[in-house]
Amino acid sequence: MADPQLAAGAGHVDDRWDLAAERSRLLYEARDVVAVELAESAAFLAGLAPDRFASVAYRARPGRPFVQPRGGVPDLAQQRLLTQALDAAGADFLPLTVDSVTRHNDYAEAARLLEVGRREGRDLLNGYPLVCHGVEATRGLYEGIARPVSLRHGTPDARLLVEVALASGIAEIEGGGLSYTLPYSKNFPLDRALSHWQYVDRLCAQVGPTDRPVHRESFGPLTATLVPPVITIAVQVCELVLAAEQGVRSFAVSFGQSGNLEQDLATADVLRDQSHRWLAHLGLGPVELRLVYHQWMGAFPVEPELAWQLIAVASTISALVAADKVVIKTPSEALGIPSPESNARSVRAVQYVLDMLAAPSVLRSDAVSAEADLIGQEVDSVLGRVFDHPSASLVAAVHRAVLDGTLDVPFAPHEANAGRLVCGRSADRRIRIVTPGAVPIGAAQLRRERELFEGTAPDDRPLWERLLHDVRMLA
Amino acid sequence: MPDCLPGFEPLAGPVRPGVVLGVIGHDIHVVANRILEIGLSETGMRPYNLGTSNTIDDFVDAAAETGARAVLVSSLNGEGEVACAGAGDRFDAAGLGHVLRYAGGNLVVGSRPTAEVERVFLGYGFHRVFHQSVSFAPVFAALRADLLQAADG
Repeated sequence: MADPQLAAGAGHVDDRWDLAAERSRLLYEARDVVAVELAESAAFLAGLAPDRFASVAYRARPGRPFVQPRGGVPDLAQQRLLTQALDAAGADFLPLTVDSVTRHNDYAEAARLLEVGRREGRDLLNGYPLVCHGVEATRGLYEGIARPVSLRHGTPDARLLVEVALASGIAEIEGGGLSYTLPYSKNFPLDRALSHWQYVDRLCAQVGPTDRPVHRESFGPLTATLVPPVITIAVQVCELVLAAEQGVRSFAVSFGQSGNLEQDLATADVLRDQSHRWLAHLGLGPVELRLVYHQWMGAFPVEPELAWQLIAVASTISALVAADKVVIKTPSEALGIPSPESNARSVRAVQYVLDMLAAPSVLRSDAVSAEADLIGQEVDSVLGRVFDHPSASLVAAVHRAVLDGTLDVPFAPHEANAGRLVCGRSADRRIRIVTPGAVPIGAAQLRRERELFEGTAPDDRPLWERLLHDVRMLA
Repeated sequence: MPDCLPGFEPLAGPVRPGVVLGVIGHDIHVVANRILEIGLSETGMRPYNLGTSNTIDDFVDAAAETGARAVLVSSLNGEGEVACAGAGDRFDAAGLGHVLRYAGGNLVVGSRPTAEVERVFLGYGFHRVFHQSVSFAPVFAALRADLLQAADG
């Protein structure tokens, strides 16, 4: 059973800290950077049309996944053009991708690069510097637009960024203390990141209207490099329950295309099942739970004809797992940041594929069930270790689980990440655990993983060569 | 971690040779760095991995602290050209001139002839340069040959 300190019954919300006090301090300290009034977000969101809320859109899924491209450019007018192009192309959700200088909270440097870029007529930032542009300008981006906007970033301390986003009418916030720290930062202290994301979660929970809550989404692909399903699912469930504990009532778990259809089908099954199970087990919720699928996040082929095939297969899988939303790629992925035209073409192409696959029932087979059983047992073991530990709080339990290597993200650059879990790819392209490090995988499951890794077609290349080959598997 | 591959049995002596590796500059490209660490273990070395975001002095310090016999400096985003300048002198100044120094990755910004890039980095005091090498195999082979030669000499 869960520690009674961790969960005090259904509908329980963490009452050990005070958001209002922290908000006042944060916004006061940031007063020279950006102006956000304390009561402004709630008032603006209350007056915002329902079709701008992801949580509302998700309640009426149209028999296929919603389609969301990626996109963010530094210049305000260019971002408006991109937004209009994606809206005209029929993107169901619109992206606002934030630049990496803002992600590291260096707003002065972002402002400087924005200004120099403007003077020299070129982009020196790789996304939209939301904090520099501020609330009024960003609201203007979405005038006349009747679609939800999704904030995409990669920020360990996203408090100010999310304050500005919510006040600007962006009602879907991606990220989490694990998924936006371990893959994105070398040394931002993990305990601080987790506590800053509690702020974000609580803020999202409190500023939205009750019938149109601000939607939160986690980032399952992590490093997108040989991350086994058990780690993706464990991280997703951790961020789900941490958000639910702060009062979030609309949340999407997500994962990325693994390279094997059956493993993706199994991952989707287990991810949904474990999410519901742990919310109930910890006495949290109710949460409107959604599933998001990311098209291939690894290295893309340069040839457009191959890239289109990859996008089509990824779109198909998103339909077969009955994802609520698919985050898409463009054929220029291998070449750099896509043009608005390339992005718009991709939106139409993905919808073209999805319309061929209208409302399929989730595909299952013996092979998928066997894979799902194995992954499910592994997740039971890992999350059992995380949450059965007698920690003072859920967030402390999650923090400890990273430090002791229970949660270990392959290829994550963060210094707190153990980096001892090693995975490989079997001949049928499933991701398999080779060396578990400190991740508590049971002996039977580990034996099975290794059989499946070596069993199909013995490969006597050294591990380093197989890993290097894998990184460019579909490129 | 698997044991050594055939042909890469530990070199003479009670311990495997230590090798410091890491990525230089504000560069978060960590995937190849991790694979290189695994490959060093598999080829009979004892890797000390500094991970990302290092300066040349971090490599000097690590070589001093671990008694490593070689350092592998990677740059994937091209910051290496600036960050690696004077590397040989820093090792000499620390009394570590004998430590083997390799540089590899995408060592400069933009596309420049490999021969030119090699000249620049040899001038910085590196013993071998692997600019845009498609495999680690030549690195492992060279490292073994150089360490054997150093042991003979």
